[in-house]
Formats: sequence, structure tokens, C-alpha cells
Amino acid sequence: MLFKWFDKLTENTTRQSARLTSRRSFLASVGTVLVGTAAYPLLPVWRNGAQAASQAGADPKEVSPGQDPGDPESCEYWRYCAIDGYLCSCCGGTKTSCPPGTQMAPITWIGTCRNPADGKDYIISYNDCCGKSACGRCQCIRNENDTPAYLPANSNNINWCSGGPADVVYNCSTAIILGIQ
Amino acid sequence: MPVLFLIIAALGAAFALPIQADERRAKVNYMLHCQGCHTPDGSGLSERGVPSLKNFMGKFLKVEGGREFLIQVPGAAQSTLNSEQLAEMTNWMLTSFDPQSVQDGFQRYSAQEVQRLRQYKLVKVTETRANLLNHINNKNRLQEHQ
Repeated sequence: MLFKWFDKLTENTTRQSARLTSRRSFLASVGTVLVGTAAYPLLPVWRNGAQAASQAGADPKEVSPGQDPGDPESCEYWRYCAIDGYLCSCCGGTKTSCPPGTQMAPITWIGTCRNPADGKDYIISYNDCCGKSACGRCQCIRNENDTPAYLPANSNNINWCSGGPADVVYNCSTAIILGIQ
Repeated sequence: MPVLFLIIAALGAAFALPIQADERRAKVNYMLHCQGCHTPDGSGLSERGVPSLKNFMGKFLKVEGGREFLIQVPGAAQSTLNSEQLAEMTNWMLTSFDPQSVQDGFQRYSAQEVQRLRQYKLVKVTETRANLLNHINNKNRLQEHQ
């Protein structure tokens, strides 16, 4: 008696389910889940996992200069005096932040540039943004005070991404003011 | 005669006074010559071979050869800083990054000492560092047992 009732219940539920849903809709749902799962890591989102793996953690904080003349998308902009690479300002980031989907290398090279507005020398950190292929826009190579690779702390020819937790792929460079010399 | 006496006295006073450490200059020199790799707080990036200075640097002073090593390590000895600036910056780094381990009887580096130490070219850097770390670890273990 009980088994008969249970068989009926199962049959009815299955038939109702078959009437309401199609095999195509089931396949479509499974397909969406599969594609979505595969595509999720490719989305341009900040990689929290990679960031957590970084011991250094937070990106450097900019010390605001009094005046900041010029166009950050131009290679002539004063704080790019010792840069060598693509400007993040042209690549979806800003002069002090990385484009979406890339991560700032915690180790970097640091130089000084003179601000034409006040004539003072500012300490600039040229942190590279890493994790996506080279941006290719606004290439800017100005090597003032650049040192050869055997003095690595002040050499801009090094791919500083190789020291970062993201990976070695270089995307673009920022120019962050750390202070006044 | 009194003028000569005054000159001699002034010269004597100038030599007797320790060099006035300029903390700001030391910090700026750290930023320009070291911070790129050792990071702003000295914690470095150990997974990529940049050793941490934070809460550790002063331990080198307590083992034989460690005091010399801090100046002879290529990043310091071969930097473009002059010996006075290198001494000033190293003293600042020790007191800023590892105040705990340098508080007892810390002898500040002088420009003369740095000048003398940096003449020696350290060739086996990794080996020397590993030996010093062994000594530091052994010393810590002994202290724990006491």
C-alpha cells in the first residue's frame, strides 16, 4: 500500500517536472554554469587572493603635492622624468593606480623629479602594474638619473613585476609621490 | 697667542662633537636607495628574496661579524652614499626598524667605521649571510634554554 502510494507520487512528480521543463533548458542551465565558472577568473576584477598572498600588502599612498601641473596622459608630465614604460593613465588606470585586472608590484624603483610649479624635488615611486599583457599605449621612455642594471635600486630597465606576487607580465607604470627630497 | 688658543680650542670642540645625525636626510636616503626593494616599513618580500629588516636587523649586531656585514652587504657598501650618509642611514634604520633589539648598548656607526668596513669587498654574500643567520639562531636557542 505504502509502496504503491510512493510509486504514484514519484511518477506524478517526474511527469510534472517533464511537462514544465525541457531537456534543452536543462542543458542551457548546465552550459551557463560551466561557461560562467570558466570565465569568472578572466573578469577584470581585483584579485583578492593574490593580494592576500602579498606580504607587503597595501599599495603606496600618494603624498599630495601642492600643485601638480601638466597632463598625466602626456610623457612630458613632470613626474614621469625617469619612467620607462607605458603610462597607466592611458591604459585604464591613473598616474597612481593600476588598470582593472592588474596588480601593483610591491617592489619598485624610486627616483626624484622636479616639480616645475614649486621648483622642489619630489620622491617618485614608479610602481609597475602586472598580470596582463603590455598595455601598448602612451609609451614613455625618459631616463633621467637612471642607473645601469648593476645598480638595480635605481634602474628602470628592470621588469619590477618579476618581484611581485601577481606574475611577471608587465602592463604599465604609475608615478606615485612619496615625499619631498 | 690668545687667537691661536681660540682656534685650537674651536678645532678641538669640532672634532669632539659627534656628527649631528639628520633624521630626515637618513629617511630620504633610505627611500631613494633601499625602499624600492625593502619596502617602506622594512618588511621586504621574503618570497622573492628580499630579506626583512623589520624586528630583525639588530640581531646581526649581536653575533660576530654581523656588525661588519650590515655595512659590507653590497646594497650598502656599493651604494652611492658617502660614508657619513651611510652611517647615518644605517643608524636610522636600526633604531626605526628594530628598536627592540638595539636598545641595549647599541653603538652607533661612525663615518670612520663605515669608511673602513666598506673597503672590504664581500664576495660570498649568500654564504656569509647564511652563517650569520645560523649564529643568530643558535644564540636564540641558547637564550631560550637559559
